[in-house]
Amino acid sequence: MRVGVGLCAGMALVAFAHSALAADEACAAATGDVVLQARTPEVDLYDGPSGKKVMTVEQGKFPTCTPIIGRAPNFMLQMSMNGAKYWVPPYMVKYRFSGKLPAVCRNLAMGSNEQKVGSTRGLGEGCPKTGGSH
Amino acid sequence: MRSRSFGLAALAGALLASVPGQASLGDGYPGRGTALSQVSAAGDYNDVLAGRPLALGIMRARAQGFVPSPQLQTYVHGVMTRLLTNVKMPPSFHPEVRVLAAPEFTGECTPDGTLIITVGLLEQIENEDELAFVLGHELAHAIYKHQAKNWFKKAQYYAVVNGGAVDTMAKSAALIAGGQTGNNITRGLDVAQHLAKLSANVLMPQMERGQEDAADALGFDLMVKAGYDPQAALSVMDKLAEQEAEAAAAAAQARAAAEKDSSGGGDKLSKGLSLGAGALGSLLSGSAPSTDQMTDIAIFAFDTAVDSMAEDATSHHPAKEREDLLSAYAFREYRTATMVNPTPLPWSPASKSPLKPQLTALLAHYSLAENAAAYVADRSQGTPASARTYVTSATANPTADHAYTEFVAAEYYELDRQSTLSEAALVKAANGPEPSWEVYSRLTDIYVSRGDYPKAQALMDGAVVRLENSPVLLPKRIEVLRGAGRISEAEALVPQCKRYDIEELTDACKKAAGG
Repeated sequence: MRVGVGLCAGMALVAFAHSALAADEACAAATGDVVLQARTPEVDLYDGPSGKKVMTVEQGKFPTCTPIIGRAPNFMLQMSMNGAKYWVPPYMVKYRFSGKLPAVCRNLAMGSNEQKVGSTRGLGEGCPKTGGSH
Repeated sequence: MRSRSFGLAALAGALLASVPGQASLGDGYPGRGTALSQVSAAGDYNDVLAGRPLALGIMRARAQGFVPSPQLQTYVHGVMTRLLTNVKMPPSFHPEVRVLAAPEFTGECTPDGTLIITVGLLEQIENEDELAFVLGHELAHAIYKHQAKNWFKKAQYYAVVNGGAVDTMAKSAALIAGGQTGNNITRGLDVAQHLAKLSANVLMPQMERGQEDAADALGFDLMVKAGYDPQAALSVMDKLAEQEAEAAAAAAQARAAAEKDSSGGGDKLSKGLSLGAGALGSLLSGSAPSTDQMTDIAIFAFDTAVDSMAEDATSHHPAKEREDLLSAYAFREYRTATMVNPTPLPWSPASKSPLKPQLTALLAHYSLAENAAAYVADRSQGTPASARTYVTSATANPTADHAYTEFVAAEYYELDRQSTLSEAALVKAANGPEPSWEVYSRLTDIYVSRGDYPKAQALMDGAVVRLENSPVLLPKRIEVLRGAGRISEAEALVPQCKRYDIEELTDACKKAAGG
């Protein structure tokens, strides 16, 4: 029984990984931040980052390779669909951000904006230069 | 065969996707309902609490120890407490949270229920909600009493071999390389530096995949129930995925370099491998290897680490897969949850926290120290003037006596041939609230080189207390006792080394004892 469950979960994971790879490849021509495809069986569309739900789209009918035109502090993603603009919760879609994640721009009065080697970004790396001490 | 597997997988995926909200998730996720509604806490946590001093001692001996900031401690503890508001736990459940002075993006839960997060993680999260997910995940491990198999033994091994030898190797290599050229040296340095970065991040005992899933599910529930934005969990996974990709790229680069050397440059790799535990032992005992040895050792150590990683990585669960599982779980259980706006971190511009000035300065100083460390490791990463400015700022209050900032300052001054300033920085850190193994080790070497054994001995005595008698200290303690002419005391420590059953440690102790 456990083996069966494990196998099923394993297959599901392979399917997840395979579909993510395929979606990424299918949208190879798209530049910038992109919603690749629906991730969940249905995708809810909102009229604002903290707005109300205005529509639900089935996974198969959800558009692919759509540019992300806005990102809210609460992580919601804005995209166009059929000529209208909507916000989607990121967990409902597969997406690809171009380059690195958004810079962590904070109070840089004492921080540095310089690039660093290694596995982490520097505090303020990628942020606009401020009037700080560096 | 391969296409059949994908066919089956696709079929499974199609079946899973066909029934909204009924997708089967990973082994650790509940079949239906939330993890929080089904959590059954252990009746008693006193058994795991007994291991806390040792667990803390092991973690202190890694990297640059814990960040000694009561304000930061208060803040992260407050987030953890908020997460526990909606869980009924027995009085013996006493989770703790500590911030490790390491630049990696890492979270950990030691078997005693101490949640470990790193400065690197705090630097890269964007709001308190992301922190809440990380702490919620680690808290779930503590609630479930998860622990990696043989955690204490493995963590001790990593602390000894990687925390000691690898860091020493990388730092010595960086200093030795000053003014020297040669492909082998450069490549050896690359490997050593990659390894040093990777070791602290990857080479920790891993939980099993099912345990990670269970912790993701309960951690997610805890953060949502506490009023945090659930989307932050995915954002954390994005960051983790980025870290994994960078680490994998670094490992591949180092591996390719090592293989190239092996095929075209003679028998360096096999020579490196043949060095075995003895090579690491010589590093542990503090003797500086030659540049040729350094290259060989770097390759050997890298290979050892890759082997260890491969073994541990079998249960490692890639962030992208975890993100998919979390999404399916959120869709099933939280689709109608009310949206909330993320809580700003106390060091963000939007924060009105009274802790804002101190915590902003604290993290900025650590970041400046990281920049200076980058320059010390690779002089193309800045200029002498910028590095000096970083060091000066990083070692001002509130981080004037922190092990991390002062150790980096010592490294910089050493590179700049200002040994008096370098030593002064180490002394400051040793007298500070959380001196690290690296600080003790470097300062002891200075005293030993001068023949000042009373000072070296006093330092080691302090380290034994501070680092919970960590085995990392043993070779150096033996070396100091032997140098002071206290031979019988030195020899009496050798059996202690054997007790840990770490071959590299035993060899290092024997070497330090003159055997």
